[in-house]
Amino acid sequence: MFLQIHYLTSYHASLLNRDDAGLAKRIPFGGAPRLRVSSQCQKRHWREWLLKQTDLPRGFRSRHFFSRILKPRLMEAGMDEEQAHELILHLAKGILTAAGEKDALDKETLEMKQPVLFGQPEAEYLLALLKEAAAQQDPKAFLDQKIREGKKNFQALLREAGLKDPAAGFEGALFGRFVTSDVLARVDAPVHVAHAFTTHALQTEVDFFTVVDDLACDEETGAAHANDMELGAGIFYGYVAVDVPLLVSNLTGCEREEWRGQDHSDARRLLERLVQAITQVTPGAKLGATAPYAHAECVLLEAGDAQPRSLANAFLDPVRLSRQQHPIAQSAAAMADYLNRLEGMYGGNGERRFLSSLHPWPREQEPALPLPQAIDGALEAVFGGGA
Amino acid sequence: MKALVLRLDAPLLSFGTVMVDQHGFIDRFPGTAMLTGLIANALGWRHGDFGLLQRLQDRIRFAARWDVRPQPIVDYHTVDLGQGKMRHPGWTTRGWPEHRAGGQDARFGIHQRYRHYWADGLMTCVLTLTGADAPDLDAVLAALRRPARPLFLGRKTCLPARPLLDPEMPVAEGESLLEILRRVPVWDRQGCPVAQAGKREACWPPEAEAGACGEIRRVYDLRDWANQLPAGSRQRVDGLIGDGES
Repeated sequence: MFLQIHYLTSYHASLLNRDDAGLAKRIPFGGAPRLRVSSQCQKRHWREWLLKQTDLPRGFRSRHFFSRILKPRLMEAGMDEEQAHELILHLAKGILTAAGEKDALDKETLEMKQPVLFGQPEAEYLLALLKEAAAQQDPKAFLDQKIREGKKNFQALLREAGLKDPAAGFEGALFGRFVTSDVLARVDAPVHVAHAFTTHALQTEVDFFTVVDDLACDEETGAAHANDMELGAGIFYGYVAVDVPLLVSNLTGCEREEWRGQDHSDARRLLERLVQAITQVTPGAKLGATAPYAHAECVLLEAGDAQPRSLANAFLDPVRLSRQQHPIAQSAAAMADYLNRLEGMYGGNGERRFLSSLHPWPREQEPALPLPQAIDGALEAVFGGGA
Repeated sequence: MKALVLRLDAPLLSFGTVMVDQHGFIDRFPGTAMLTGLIANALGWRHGDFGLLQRLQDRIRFAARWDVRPQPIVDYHTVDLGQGKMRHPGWTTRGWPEHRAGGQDARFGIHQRYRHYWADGLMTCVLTLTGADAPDLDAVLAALRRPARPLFLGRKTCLPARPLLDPEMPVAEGESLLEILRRVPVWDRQGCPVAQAGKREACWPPEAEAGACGEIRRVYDLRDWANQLPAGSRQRVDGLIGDGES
């Protein structure tokens, strides 16, 4: 199950993303140069905005990681409930104590008092440890030894999972974490972000500016500094694909195939916030000089199981701006036309689509909705009834 | 033999080859390890499925053709290793934490990176699997249609602009990959067949029949999946195919 987000945003004269020469980033597309905003630049700004939202999920369900994820899987592997409970309690207490958190676990329910986000890699690692312990003569002594030997490792594990800083856990769940050479400890990013580019050919100007030194003596003349800055304006097409099963797996620690059976409230809330970030947060630089603030004016959300693909090729022919039609409306029309042609060529694949747009959308299947309703509809299509 | 016909179309493509310092260089044609990862992603395999990945890589044979010649671009970006989430050692399944080696600048500084890409091109790739192991070509076909994960062509930001499988002829039969590749219609940038296609750059396995005009070269596009290292090489023929082929 995938959520795809297509958006059109118009920026006035600004310098959104610079290369090492200080010029605006570009990409050739359809034989014409376009302005570009790189994937990394967009993700960074969305991430910073997301981390500031005070209503990010507080990881309520993740506190039940030990009882809802680890314990059932140990019992599936043949361990009886009492032993599983005992060993998990011992290990969990041990690693939380190693990280400086005492009395952080409820004996009966195995619920953590702090929100900590364990994903699939942590689940696999802890399960392997518990199974190895169960095969020992004295399982608890084995666990004690492992906790003692790997104290720093467990501290690192808990820090990365967001202990004391829940936002760090959610950041890793959304955008991935790959900080060691151990591929088994890696958290893959469920959010795939394409480089955004303009729907029309590139047009920029070089702005020459001087800096006047107000403290200069009367005898001195001229500017203290002279330089230039490239400015460009454009309508940008951007595309994001979200791997929903992986996001749920990152948030709950479940196997990705079991994502439908989990509590989706955290994932749903995060995706809602992500779409808001994508449509409202600027990737701009030169804030003081150019005030590059804009919101998306056409947003298409798709929910489905077929291979995600962007609608970038709608703009292979650069949009030729005309006086008769609003420029963003031209881009939206090109996107809709391309979607029609794509469906004609490949057939429909059961995608559910939700549109929010200021501009006419020449397809009857997707009536324009307010953005919150479009988001709700898309998330209901993702998390609602089984497909 | 049977082969899948893939159309690799995206604003940016990157076929990674040997990295040199901060430059992520690219090859003219896809690597075998890249295609292994693409198929494994579609099938829903995991990083730890070393044996499956290695076996799949051994079985992959492909030929590829640039229907539309791409342009190279270089993307510059920086990474701040001093960010809060990067400053501390990371946990590992080996039992001890790990951090980047080196001095202050190496571990916490801002690093510059140059990522190379092919832009504005369109590639046709015909791919088959040798042997009778699972998965077979039908399983891969189904997985590419409804993959377990979003697919990307090289780097994660290289998201495809169309479904990968050819809409008319997702599976083709022929005597060899090169023969199949010759028969698959050349597309223009918009995805329409070109009536009078001229010569096109292509690559194919060296076992192809005599008469094909190309240069054999050694490419380093394999991966030791268990040890997570690029390792190994194979021979590949690069050449021109199409009308008036000499």
